[in-house]
Amino acid sequence: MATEKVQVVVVGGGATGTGILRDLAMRGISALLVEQGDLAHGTSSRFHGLLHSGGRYAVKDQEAAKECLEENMILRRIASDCVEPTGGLFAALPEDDPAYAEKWVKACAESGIKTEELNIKELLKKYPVLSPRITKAYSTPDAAVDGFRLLWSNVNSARRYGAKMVTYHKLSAVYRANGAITGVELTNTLNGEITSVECQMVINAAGAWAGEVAAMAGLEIHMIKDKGTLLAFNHRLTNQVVNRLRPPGDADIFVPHGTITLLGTTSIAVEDPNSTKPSEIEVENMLNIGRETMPNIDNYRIIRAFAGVRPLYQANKGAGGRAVTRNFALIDHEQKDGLKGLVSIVGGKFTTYRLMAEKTVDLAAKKLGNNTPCRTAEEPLTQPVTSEMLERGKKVFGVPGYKKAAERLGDAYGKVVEKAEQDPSMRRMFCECELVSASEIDYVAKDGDSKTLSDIRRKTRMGMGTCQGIFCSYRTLGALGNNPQFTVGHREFITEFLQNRWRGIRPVLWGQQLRETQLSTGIFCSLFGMERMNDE
Amino acid sequence: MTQKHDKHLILDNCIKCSICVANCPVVKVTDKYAGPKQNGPDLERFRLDEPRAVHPSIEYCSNCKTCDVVCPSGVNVSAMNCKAKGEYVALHGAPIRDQVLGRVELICKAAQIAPALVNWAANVKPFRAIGEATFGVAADMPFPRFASRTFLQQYKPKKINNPKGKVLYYPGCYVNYYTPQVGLALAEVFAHNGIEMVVDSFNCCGLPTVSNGLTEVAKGYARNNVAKLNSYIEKGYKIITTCPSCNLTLRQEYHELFDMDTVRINNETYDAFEYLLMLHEAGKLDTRLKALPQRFGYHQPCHLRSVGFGIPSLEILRLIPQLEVHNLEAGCCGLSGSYGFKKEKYPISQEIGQNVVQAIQEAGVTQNITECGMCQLQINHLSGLPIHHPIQLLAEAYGLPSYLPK
Ligand SMILES: Cc1cc2nc3c(=O)[nH]c(=O)nc-3n(C[C@H](O)[C@H](O)[C@H](O)COP(=O)(O)OP(=O)(O)OC[C@H]3O[C@@H](n4cnc5c(N)ncnc54)[C@H](O)[C@@H]3O)c2cc1C
Ligand code: SF4
Ligand code: SF4
Repeated sequence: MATEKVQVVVVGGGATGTGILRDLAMRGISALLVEQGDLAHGTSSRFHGLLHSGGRYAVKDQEAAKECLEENMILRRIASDCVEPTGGLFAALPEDDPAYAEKWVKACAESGIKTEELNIKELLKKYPVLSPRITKAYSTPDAAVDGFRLLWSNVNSARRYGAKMVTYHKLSAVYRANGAITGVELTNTLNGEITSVECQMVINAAGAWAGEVAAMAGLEIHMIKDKGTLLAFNHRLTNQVVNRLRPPGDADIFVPHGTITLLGTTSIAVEDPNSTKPSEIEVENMLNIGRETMPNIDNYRIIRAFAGVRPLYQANKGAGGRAVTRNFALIDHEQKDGLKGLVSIVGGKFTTYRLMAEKTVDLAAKKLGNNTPCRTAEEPLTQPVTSEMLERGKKVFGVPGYKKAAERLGDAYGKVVEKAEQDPSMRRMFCECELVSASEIDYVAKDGDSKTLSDIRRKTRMGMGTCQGIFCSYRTLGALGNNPQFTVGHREFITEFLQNRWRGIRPVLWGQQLRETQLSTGIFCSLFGMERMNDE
Repeated sequence: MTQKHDKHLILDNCIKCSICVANCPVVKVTDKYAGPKQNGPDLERFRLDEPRAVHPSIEYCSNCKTCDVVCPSGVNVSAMNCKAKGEYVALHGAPIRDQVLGRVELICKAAQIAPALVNWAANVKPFRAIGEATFGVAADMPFPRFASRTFLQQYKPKKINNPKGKVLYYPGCYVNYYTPQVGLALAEVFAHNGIEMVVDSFNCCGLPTVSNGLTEVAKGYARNNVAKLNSYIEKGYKIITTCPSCNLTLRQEYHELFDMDTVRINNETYDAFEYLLMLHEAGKLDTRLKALPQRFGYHQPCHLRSVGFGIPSLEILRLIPQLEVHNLEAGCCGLSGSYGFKKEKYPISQEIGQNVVQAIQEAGVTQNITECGMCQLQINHLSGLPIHHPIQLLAEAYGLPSYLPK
């Protein structure tokens, strides 16, 4: 049982936790981030991917709107690889209250959100998928953000500053003595091994699990766990985020994201933060609302549905769902509960993760006697890939394969291109739907943090496209044989991978996706005979 | 055929089954090409955001359109590929060679100054060696021979009283410049059956141009051709082709590639044999045919298969007593227009064509027929055997001038 020693243990590898890790590291505070699954196991990869302009909150909460806008602008600057500056639009239909639109325009102006009224005719020409019933439309500075990539960029940057991070390690106990935190116990979730870490402080950034973590220290935090389901369409329906111009509700946002479009969301209170199973009824309800903005929505192929759980903080029990504040709360348990060394950061939005981290680390640093100022808003997360390297990548991976790989790999891009240049067989696209080359998969498999096929999937997007992993899964596994973690257990890897994919496909099993799944069943159950293999 | 499809919906139809990949003749013989699925529907998803999305291997697509035919989901793979090729060329520029090979019309017009001289020079070994080294034009692939006079120069319309139908014949570059005998034989057959046939000067259909990624040039041709064809259709003419690639391009490709409205052209354009078959079904075709006791191998051009009206020539030729036509059913011949003339593609093209060679040997035939001029060239090159257009056999069976070598 190895014992490590750091100043701060951060619990939770989501946007908030990774943001905190980087901020701590940049201020010279030694820190370890622990995550029970892969990075972004929680809500930060199960969200809408909208980098809010603030427009959605402008009418109800100008403070939140301003925060969003400011962070939106910061992230475009420091994380340009992770943000797609698509721009957004807010569109009203005849049934939407025109008075709201007026209020909205005014509130946006007051919050500093630039809006511009759009010519409906031109808009419909540009996006014939939109309803001809639209009465008013405005542009906003919304954007799309890639959660997974942003989290890894945070971690990679933090590691360069000396921070540590372990995935597949769950915080299983908190040690305290004399009213102060002294360390934590970690359980390896892959093999059950237990280790402990000495520390002066624990920062609880466990999102929807924050209550569970607090409970390990014998304390209580009231979280509302609010499940939201999203639908992933097979292609970009528009090239801009589309919001409904009315008070925020279900299924009123379409976000174009790389190759796909996400429609969401629903809002259902759940007990368990692991409740991420999308249901058919949610899908149906969302399509009913989405159809108002995009009348032909049923003709467009949906590749999967997935759900995440919003960690909403509730200072006083009672209110639920969308009425609860989206703002975050920083809880100093020393002040609140008399336990020194525990800080919880709860609630918030992905868009404002950096600000949440800044406020949290301000408090933590003060307690640790460190007064280095925060620099996370100024320093870019990654170094941009050189244009020479991009050109070289273009020759081996094509357009836009090279660009997608550069965005995903960041600093490691050069190595992946070089390998493909030297060995043409490494240029082959293992995942043809999302353009992931053999070279990229090989690199990621060897990076030290990839334990399962799903880990590789999240880092590369392999298996996240149209075919949902039918072909790339076995192709990849076959080529990973020279990596010790992938030499045995092929059946388990494939099963875990496919079951995860099918979980998302089941609620949208019709049309072309049904045909695709039939094909997949044929390949895996009949051709590979997986159905006949027994579980010995 | 409906022409009002949403191209994004078509991209959603692909279920990644890879049947197109398994059937692509190019993929079968080389691993240099990433295949129809990757360049077509896979990258099409990315084109919604990045119109120039293209795999570096796109130039290996020969535009044979086998992928379209085999796809069980109705995906127009090759049109996606052609557009991608256009984007690739717009991005990287086309080699001079492709710019020349793609403009068949220009080459042909230029050659008219002295066809005999061009024919001589085109097949002089040292010249070809220089051509290969400098421009990358495969030295071993013989160029087709220019006719001394074009079809349009030779054809004299015949006055027909009370015609059973009137047609405009679109000969295409190949017949006009290289094999005018095909057009002349057609004229005989039509006149014999009481069909009035007129001609006019048109642009190249643009298919070779598209295949070389010169999309904008092709679009210009398309506009001119569509306008002129429509003017004839308005006057009650049916449009007739003998070249399957021209047929496919006029009827489907202008719409697929350039979003032009060609519903009317599609409805009013016929392959010569398709038209003759219609006459026959209406009881208007003269079926008094003399016996031709001979055996021929028949090769179906890929583009004929792609237009999708079956093989009407075989049905008509069946009316000829004692004629035995053996359908080779060997798939793509490999030349695909200018493709096989390119140095780096010549070996691929020759290898694809081996199927046809084998089928000819197995069938034990010593002469062949096929509708497409380029297929004729390739099969003759591969097998050394004579090859003709089926219309020439029909003319022969009517006892008309068939322009077959005696
Ligand atoms: C459907 C939906 C759509 C959304 N859309 C948007 C949007 O478009 N824009 C936006 O800005 N926000 C959006 N949000 C909100 C946003 O996603 C979340 O606020 C944000 O991702 C939360 O990040 P986090 O780091 O706090 O939590 P998480 O990402 O959940 O991270 C917490 C992590 O802690 C880990 N953990 C928990 N317990 C332990 C333990 N004991 N030991 C180790 N690790 C542990 C979990 O595995 C998890 O990975 C959306 C939320 C949902 C549900
Ligand atoms: S284009 Fe057609 S044949 Fe090719 S993979 Fe898609 S569905 Fe299959
Ligand atoms: S057109 Fe022919 S060569 Fe091109 S991808 Fe399709 S099948 Fe292959």
